[in-house]
Order: sequence, then structure tokens, then C-alpha cells
Amino acid sequence: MDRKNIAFFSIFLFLAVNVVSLSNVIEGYYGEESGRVYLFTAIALISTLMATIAFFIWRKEEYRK
Amino acid sequence: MPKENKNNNHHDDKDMMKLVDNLNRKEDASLNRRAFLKASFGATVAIGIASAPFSALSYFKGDGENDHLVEIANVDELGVGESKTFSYPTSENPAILVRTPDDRFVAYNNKCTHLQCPVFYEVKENILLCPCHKGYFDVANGHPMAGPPQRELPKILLEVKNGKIFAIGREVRHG
Ligand code: FES
Repeated sequence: MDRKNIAFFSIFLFLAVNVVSLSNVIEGYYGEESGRVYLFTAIALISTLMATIAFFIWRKEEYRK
Repeated sequence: MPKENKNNNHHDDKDMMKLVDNLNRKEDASLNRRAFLKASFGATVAIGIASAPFSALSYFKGDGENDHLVEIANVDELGVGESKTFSYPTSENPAILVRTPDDRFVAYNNKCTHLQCPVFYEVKENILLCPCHKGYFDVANGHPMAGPPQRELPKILLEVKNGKIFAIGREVRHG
């Protein structure tokens, strides 16, 4: 697999990570487990950042003439 | 006759060419793929950012208010198998005090952990029941037994002193 494909598929991986994190954050929030809320918020933000990087890598390769 | 035929063929070819133009599948697929990836990326960012407000809220909410002493009832106010509602730790946290058939006092916040309907005590089955979607909780420990709820009811710690029942604290997750 080349860079472009890896970037392409990793975005779906990060999407899945974010969905799982969000559900954990909500569970933690209502269970008043602030540790769990912070942990999964951090995971979600890191995975969002990595998805952004992956997106720009993909865009650069995709639109290269 | 053969000449006409040839002409016809020529037309057919032209039409086919147009159709083939319409069906430039490679480009079509790649444009859809691009749009799909962009939408997925947007969803990833939106879902990722959506978790941040919960962190802020739970930071500002703090944990400090879970442990003050409040008088709930007199011991003789409740017969065995009866229940009473009150609020703890704040007036926004409705709760239920139950005197179980084996003569113990237990109390839980009675907002259902599914979608926050009030939970009631069913003495016949000795169970806490949420009528909204038939969620059942164990009276002994507040854990969900059947139906949609996944999380236990917050448990209110009690103390019986001089014939009075006090709430002295709360454990949101327990057991
Ligand atoms: S709100 Fe209690 S079961 Fe749905």
C-alpha cells in the first residue's frame, strides 16, 4: 500500500476511534467518572489531530498533477 | 442498399461514443471517492471535537458536593416494603428510599440511567422498575437487571441515628 492508501484508510480507523471515545466520554460523564472523561477526550483529540494529518497527506497525493 | 447500411453504422458509432462519454467511470468513481472521504473526515473531526465539552463540564462540576449530611425520614415513617422519595445531594437529584422486605434501608438516585425517567419500587417483585422502557434494577445494589439500562443507579449512603435516617454520601459508580 502506498502513502495515499494508508492515509485514506486510516481516516476510517480514526473515525471508529472517535465514535468509541465519544460513547465512553458520555458514559463517563453521566457516571461522574471524570478520569474516564478526560482520558477518552484526550484520545479523541489526538485521533482527530492524526486524522487531520492523514487527510492532508491524502489530499496532497490525490491532487498531485 | 449497402451504402445506407454503412451510414446507419456510422450513426450508431457516434451514439455509442456519446454514451461512452457519459460513462467515464473512472472519473466518476474517483470524484465520489473524494467526496466520500471528505465527508468521513468531517464526521471524524465533528465527533472528535464533540467530546471536549463533556470534559469542560465535568471539570467545572467538580466532585465536592457528594458528601453532606441530610435528614431524610424517621425510621417509623416507612413500613416494610414501603418507599419514599427525596432529593440528594441537590434538589436536582431525585432519590428513593426503600425499606426492603428483609428490613434494611437502601437508597438510590432514581433517575433511570437509560433516559432519566423516574424509577419506582415494586414491592410485589421486590425490584426497582423504570416504566418508560421496562428497565429493572436490583433493590439490593442498584445494578440493572433487565431492559435497556446499562449503568447502575447512584447509591446513597445512609446512616440511622436516634430513629432518624440520614443521607451521608453518594457513590455514583459502585460494585
Ligand atoms: S428511561 Fe428507564 S428504561 Fe428507558
